[in-house]
Amino acid sequence: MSDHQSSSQRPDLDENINVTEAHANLNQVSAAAKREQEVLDPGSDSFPIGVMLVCGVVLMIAGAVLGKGGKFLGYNDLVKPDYVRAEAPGGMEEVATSGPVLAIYNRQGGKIYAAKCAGCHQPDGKGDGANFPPLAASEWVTGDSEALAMAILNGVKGKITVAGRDWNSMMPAQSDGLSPKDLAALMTYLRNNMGNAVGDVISPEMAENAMATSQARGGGQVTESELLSNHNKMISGAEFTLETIVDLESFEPVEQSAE
Amino acid sequence: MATDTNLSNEQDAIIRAEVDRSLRHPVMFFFTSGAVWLAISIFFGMIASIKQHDPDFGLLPDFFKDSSLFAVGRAYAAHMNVLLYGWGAQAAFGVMIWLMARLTRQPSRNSGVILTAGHLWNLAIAVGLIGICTGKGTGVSWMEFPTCVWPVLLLSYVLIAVWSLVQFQVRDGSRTFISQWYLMAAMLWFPWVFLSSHLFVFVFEGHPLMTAGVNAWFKATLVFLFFIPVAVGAAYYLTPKVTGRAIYSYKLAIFGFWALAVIGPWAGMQKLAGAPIPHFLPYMGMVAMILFMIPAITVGVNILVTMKKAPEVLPYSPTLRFVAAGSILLVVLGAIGIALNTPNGLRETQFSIAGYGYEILAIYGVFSMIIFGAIYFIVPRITVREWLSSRFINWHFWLSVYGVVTIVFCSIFGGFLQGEAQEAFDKPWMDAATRGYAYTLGTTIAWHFIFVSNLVFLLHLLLMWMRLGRRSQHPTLLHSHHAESPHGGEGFVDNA
Amino acid sequence: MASPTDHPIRRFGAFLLGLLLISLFGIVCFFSSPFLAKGEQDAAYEVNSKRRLEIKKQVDSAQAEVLKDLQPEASFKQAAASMISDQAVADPSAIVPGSPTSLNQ
Repeated sequence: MSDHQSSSQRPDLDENINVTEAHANLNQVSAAAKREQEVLDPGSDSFPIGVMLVCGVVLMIAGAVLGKGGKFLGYNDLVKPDYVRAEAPGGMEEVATSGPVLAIYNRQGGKIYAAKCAGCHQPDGKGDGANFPPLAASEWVTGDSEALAMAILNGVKGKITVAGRDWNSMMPAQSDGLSPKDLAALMTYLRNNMGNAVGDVISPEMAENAMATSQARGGGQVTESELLSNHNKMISGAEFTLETIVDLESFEPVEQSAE
Repeated sequence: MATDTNLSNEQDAIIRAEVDRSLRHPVMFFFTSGAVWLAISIFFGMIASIKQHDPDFGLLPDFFKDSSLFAVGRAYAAHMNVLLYGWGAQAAFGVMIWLMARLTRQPSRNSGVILTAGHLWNLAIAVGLIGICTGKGTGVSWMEFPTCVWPVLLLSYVLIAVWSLVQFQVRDGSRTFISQWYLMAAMLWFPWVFLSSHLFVFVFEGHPLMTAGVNAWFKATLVFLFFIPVAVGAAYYLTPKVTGRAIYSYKLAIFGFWALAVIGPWAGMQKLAGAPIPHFLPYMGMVAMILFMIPAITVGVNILVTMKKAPEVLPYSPTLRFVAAGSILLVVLGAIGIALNTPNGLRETQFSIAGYGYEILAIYGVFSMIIFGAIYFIVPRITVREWLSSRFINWHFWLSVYGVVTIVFCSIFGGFLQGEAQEAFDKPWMDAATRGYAYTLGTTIAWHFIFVSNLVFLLHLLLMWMRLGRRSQHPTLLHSHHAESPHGGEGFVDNA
Repeated sequence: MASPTDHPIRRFGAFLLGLLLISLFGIVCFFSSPFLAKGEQDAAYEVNSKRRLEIKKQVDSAQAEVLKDLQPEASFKQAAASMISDQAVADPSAIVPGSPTSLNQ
């Protein structure tokens, strides 16, 4: 029947339609296709109110969320403007941001000592008895701070008398990667621990001045005679008392707040 | 179908039969191989789900515990990718080409090419699955097939879908039905989304964050711009077909289509909330996921109200039952989308099992249920046989519904609890991890239900494929009509 | 059923149009990718990585040269065998870090 173009305009009997044959054809067509309904023209009911209400509510929720999003198409804002980290739920105790200078410097200095110095001078500062002089009760450590700083920053070569005994070894320079904060902490630690009790604090500013002096010197390890002649003084700079409160990050004094 | 009223009903039937006959091979192939892949995917899904709560596989021998094939990374990747591309895409293609042919009233002239492309697709999926199982997966969510696979998939798709576009162009008449809008849109959206995502993730050299963003976008738009439109298009065709009533409100249907078209492409980036990307992007994603409720509820209302207009058909038709379930779950999908994507909801569920529940609801609960309804409608027409057993259909339906509802409930509820536990960061993380134990266990049990239901479906479909279906003029319906049959009673053998 | 507009040329045209539409985003991506997917890399990282990889290459080749004759795997096996067969020697003067004796010091 598909080859008769006119049959669509004349659904009724055409001369050359064999009804029996057509019906037989139709019965071979799947019964399922035969019994299918037509898809009718859709209804023209108007927009149901309930759906409109739900859509309105959803739009409001979405709008509220969008409002929190900040500037639309703001490609340079990685964080919401005025973002403040929310209070931790469950409440953690206040993390301290400052503390007494000696405790903080000792802690940092102890870490640096363990990393850089304890290998030779031993964790207790007593040296190994043969090659590396002790730091405990050493006049170089407890004496002039500039001599100590020069020794640390540049290393030592040649003979040196420590605690009544001669030592003739070589100490490499330790200034690589040492910041003024670290140097100040290390020197404070050396002067106030392991049996030493000088009772003073080397401030970061003093450490900076010492580093400048060391730079100006030109490099190479110091000798005992150089230490005795050129560096037998205390480094100049801001002086901290043992009661100073310093910030944990910057190692500088903070304003005393009423706690 | 309503365009040309000059044609008699018999002419219509003959056209329908011709269309069905021309497409019988590719469509049946897509459905059958899709069902096989679905069973394989659910198997891997069960493995991945067991691994969530019982990584040592409990009482099973050590082989399972130590085997790298069943590691979560591989099992989950295999599960999702085979579910999406092995089952989802193939079932969608089958319904798509059949529906486009029916709606343009043209038999297919290129069934051979489509069938070949379908075999090529299957080959690519098999290679991809082996790639994932041997550890060659790419690790990119939903794109885990080795990178040699996706161009083959795209090529196969072109060879499958372009003929439907041609049919649309040369159709008789100018009016279009709402299903054609959804299907045409899906046919173009799929290659756009697929190709651009894979290009930006695998081909172009870009910032790794861009790759993550494009991947997140792909996951949302594959669902919203391909699976959902195909399912909705099928639902809009099947409902008036089976009920014999007109769609409740055509205006609503068109509005729903444009709402989906406008909202869908924005979704996806909410998965990256907190990442170092411009922070308006996750918010746009959240808004789009919330706004998805609008097209969801328009479709749901339209379909369900149309069905309610024909209460005499509703209890008996398997097609309508599956489509109704899918439509209800579509509205649920929209509602859950709102719950998960408010700022508080997202904060709690972003790194929990709730995301998985949402994805399974979309792919299995909505898409697969409606497509099952379409399959139960289409297969008798292309095999000229009726389904063998309404009991099989019942089992398939109820086990699937129980399964998917359990998965969704466990995942969403468990996800919120997990998220809440994760937010309490002063407690050990094991608390949060073990908080989800019961819910992942529930999910595993639900997957077992779904596995059984799909074995039943696969068996039923394979029997139909082997032309062993019932030769009958009467459809297989869900409740026994036999008492009123004009051919007399059924006797004592109960075929209900 | 064959509509008046259905003829091979129209079908072919529709086929080409379909191909064009399907590949539309791909074409757009291809042309916009130089602007969108730049693959920015830190210049310092690149320079350093070049130098680092140079050094690594030199070290690797030097090591391979030396190890070629030495066959370390054989010596590993031998050392492991001798370690297993050796008795542990007790030295009372050696202080084990973390042991009670070291903590008492």
